[in-house]
Amino acid sequence: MIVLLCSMLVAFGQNPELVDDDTVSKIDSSTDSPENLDGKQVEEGEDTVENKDVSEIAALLPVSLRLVNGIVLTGSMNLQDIVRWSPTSDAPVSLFLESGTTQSIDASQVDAIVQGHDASFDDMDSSTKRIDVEESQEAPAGANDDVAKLENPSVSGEFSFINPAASRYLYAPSSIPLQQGQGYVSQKILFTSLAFGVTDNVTLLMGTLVPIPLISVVGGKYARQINSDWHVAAGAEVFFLPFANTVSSNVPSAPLSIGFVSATYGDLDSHITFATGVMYEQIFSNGNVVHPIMIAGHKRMSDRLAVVTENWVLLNPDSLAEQRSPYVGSISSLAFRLVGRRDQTYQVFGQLITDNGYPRYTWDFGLVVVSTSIPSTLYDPVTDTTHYSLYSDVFNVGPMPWIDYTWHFGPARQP
Amino acid sequence: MKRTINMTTTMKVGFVTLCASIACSTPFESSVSQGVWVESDYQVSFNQACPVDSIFQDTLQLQYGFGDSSSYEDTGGFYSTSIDAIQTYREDLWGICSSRDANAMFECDVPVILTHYDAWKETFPVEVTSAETGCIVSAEYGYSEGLFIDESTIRLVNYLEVVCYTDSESYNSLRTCSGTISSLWTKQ
Repeated sequence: MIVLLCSMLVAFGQNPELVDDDTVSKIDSSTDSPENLDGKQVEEGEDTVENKDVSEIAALLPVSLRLVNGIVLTGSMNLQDIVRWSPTSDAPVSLFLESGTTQSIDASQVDAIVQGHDASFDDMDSSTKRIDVEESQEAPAGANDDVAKLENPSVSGEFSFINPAASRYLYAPSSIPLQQGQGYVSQKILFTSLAFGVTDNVTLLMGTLVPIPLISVVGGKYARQINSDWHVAAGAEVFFLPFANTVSSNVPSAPLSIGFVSATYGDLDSHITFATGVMYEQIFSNGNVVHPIMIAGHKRMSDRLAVVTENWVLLNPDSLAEQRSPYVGSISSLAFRLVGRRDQTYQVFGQLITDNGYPRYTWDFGLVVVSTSIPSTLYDPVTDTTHYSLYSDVFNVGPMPWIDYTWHFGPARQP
Repeated sequence: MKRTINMTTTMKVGFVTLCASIACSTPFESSVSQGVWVESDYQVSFNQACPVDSIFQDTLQLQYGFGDSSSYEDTGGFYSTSIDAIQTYREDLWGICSSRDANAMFECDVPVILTHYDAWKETFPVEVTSAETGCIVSAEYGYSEGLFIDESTIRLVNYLEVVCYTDSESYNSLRTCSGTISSLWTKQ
């Protein structure tokens, strides 16, 4: 399994320009060589387009660039440079001139960017860019999906569409909310769950084991963005055993409940979440309160590939009062995520692909390790006391494979 | 804004958490048993016909040794009603005790307190009856459970039944002492 995951990492962990992505590859087809830029062969030299990285060449677009002093320059720019550019950006933009040389221009000196060499700036304000891929190129599959990324400050701008699966890790939610009308259906081995954004801040969740609903869950999350880097959330989930009473009256019908607060740092593509809360369980005890600490991370490596890790540590504070370790157990995981996307238009039922033929589903493939630590104990009937040892037995289960299929419905994220 | 979250950071989060989780646990090492252990803090509960409270006092200063710690997982059974045979194991408790799950808890096939029977038998009711009537003292039933609390402390519970038979054939008991003794062992 580890070898398989590593192979996937190698296969998919490429720069977005080099992966087999519909958007980029179709742009490449019209700009796949320097002579295609403006119909002429560029000269050889240190700074010629020919000597640039293949991935940069592949995504060049003809543009007109207006400087703050009013001068208009024409040439070509890397698509990624265009996406990343803003007047406050630290990184300079590179303009490939028709002479074949490259001119580096301070981002703050750029007033506006328009696609094409004969484009007009008349209807544009300062600090704007207008890139219309559909009009200038053969419309690539998925190009109309998630166009809003150009205007959304929470998007890193490194990828050609917005990550639709930023609201959760393998199981735990991030503090990034689904937007109103967005949702997903997730199938984790035999567990099916459905999440839906009731508003831009409130997400509801329900799930159950299939085909027999031996375990079910309902929950909700309130989340909001507090600035460009941080989201916060609070929520609760309750697990049910619908047939508990048919087995025994002693089996609790709601054996596990979790209330949590969380904070997420980062954007939709790269983020880390810290969460904690209260977990009331009656599975291993007669009503034990455990405090979980969850640290999870998501790093998008390319349009279609992300690395996800979700890690839980369960602590029992009552143990501290008895001078014992509060550690109860932990869950650690690492997975690769094949990212799908949503349509720009509102769609709920039926389609597995977007209007432009892109998968609307996300796959998670990973490994999970569950660990628990049980201290040795001795019951003394004379004093009616249970003595606990500082030594404990560690039980590890795994690594177990984790496979999750998630189908995204609802419209793409809006800025 | 330049994000500092990269793939390495993401993977480190997972590995650090996993390692921290494992580090939160302390496995038991049988070498902890080496050394001399002194018994104290007795708590007793016996049948009414067998008052023993005054016998088990800290002044006894009973000492134990576990012997070869490599055999602490040896679960081979030991059974004998001969108290003299049991007393040969006070410095070799791993000969009659073992840790079934190789953890900090161990079980002994006979009550460990009997390995020092001669030290406290003088006023033991069964022994008194034996001295008066000539009945035969026998360790009929019993075992011990112990737990290494830490590297220098053990909690031990003895379950025992000692009887005095009129003869070795009829098994008519003149007196029976049945009860539980718990104690604290401290490494010397």
